[in-house]
Amino acid sequence: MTGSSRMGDEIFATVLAAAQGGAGWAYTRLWEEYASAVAGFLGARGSREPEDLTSEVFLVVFDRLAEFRGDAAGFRSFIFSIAYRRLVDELRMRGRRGETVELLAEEDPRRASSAESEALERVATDETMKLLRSLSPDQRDVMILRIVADLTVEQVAEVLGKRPDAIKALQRRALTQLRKKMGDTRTPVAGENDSEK
Amino acid sequence: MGKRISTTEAEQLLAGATLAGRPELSDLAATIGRARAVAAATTAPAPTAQLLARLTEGAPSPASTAGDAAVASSSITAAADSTRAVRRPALIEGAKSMAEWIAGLGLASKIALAAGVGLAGMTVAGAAGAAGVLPVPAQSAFDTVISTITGTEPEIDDDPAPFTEDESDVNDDPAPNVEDETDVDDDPAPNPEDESDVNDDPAPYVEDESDVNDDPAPDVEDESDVNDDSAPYVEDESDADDDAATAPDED
Repeated sequence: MTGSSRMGDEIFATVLAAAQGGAGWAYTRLWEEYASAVAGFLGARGSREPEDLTSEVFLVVFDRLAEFRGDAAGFRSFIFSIAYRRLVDELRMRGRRGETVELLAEEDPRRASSAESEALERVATDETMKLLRSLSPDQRDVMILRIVADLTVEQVAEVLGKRPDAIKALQRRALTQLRKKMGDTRTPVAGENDSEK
Repeated sequence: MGKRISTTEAEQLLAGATLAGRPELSDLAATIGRARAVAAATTAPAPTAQLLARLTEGAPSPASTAGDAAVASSSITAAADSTRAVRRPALIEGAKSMAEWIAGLGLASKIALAAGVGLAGMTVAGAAGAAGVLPVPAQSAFDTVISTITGTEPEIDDDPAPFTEDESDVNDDPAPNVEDETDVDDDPAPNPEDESDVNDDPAPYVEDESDVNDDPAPDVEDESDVNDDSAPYVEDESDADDDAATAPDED
């Protein structure tokens, strides 16, 4: 079900049509379907108030529903594109106010914001949090969109405005980096990697 | 270091799947799998008030009604029922319900409701004023209003503890006027003569008086607010408040 919708294409089309007509119940269905993933993504990427920002994202989504054409997979990209832009806006705004600029500081794990830590703890184990925080911003964007937001390579490429090949390269490097980090922090099982050393 | 991760293997890892023949990636796969499971189990956050209004009301345009009618199929109707499961702050829900209830009233009902609310406030203030428990400035203003309305001068009681005396007076009265009492109970606008009757109430006012007099700057609005509080004085006042509050409903 990666990158698609739990409600199925046929029901999605009906719900989308109703939402584009302004029906409140259809808005609610879309909220229920996508809000948790959006909140998880925003929190993991450093939003101070991911829940409120999620509501803001959906207000924008509902306002712009009329311009959307596509299926459930496309709609997921549509939502996360808006979410990503809103997140960047928030991070820039915080930067202008003199707060820690998450995009610039995130490579240093000692400077990760507490909000980010809390958000990551909600969506993953402590171990995963530490690992994701160790990645570069681009790699982390890709990994969180793939794992937390459950997007495909093509959807991530659309959200981040990159080519799919670039996304594939980023995720491959990210996974390699994660494997290396995990190897560094764990006691290797006897004989586990013998064949590859 | 192990061999390079291919694109296919990356896809499998990101799905949380363990790769056959790549035991060195099993921990990574397990970690990603746990993260995916936690993310999938996360519920939708509570919407903000603005979004909640949109979820409940739909788009603020006539298109909303058309959209509702066009898609009222059985499966979607069942899905719509689940929208009630969206978590809403109880306070917002309650306020919204009240607003909807008021909005649904007719014009006459709204006027009656407004009058009732005003009357309730006046009754609380009137009861306090008639009881003489208001602080000096407020009591003076109250007396002025009453004398203007009724054309009578309020009794000036020099006694620093008027209510104790009043109570004893009433208790000493061998034949209290029953008619007067019923009049007081029915009368929503107390007058100075009612003051002694108010003191027929079995003795809560001595404490009340001290509480009110301790208030540095009380006024009618403050007292009504105090009535919502759980402080001791409030309990006494809340009796009057409750009485007044039920009047509009009964009307």
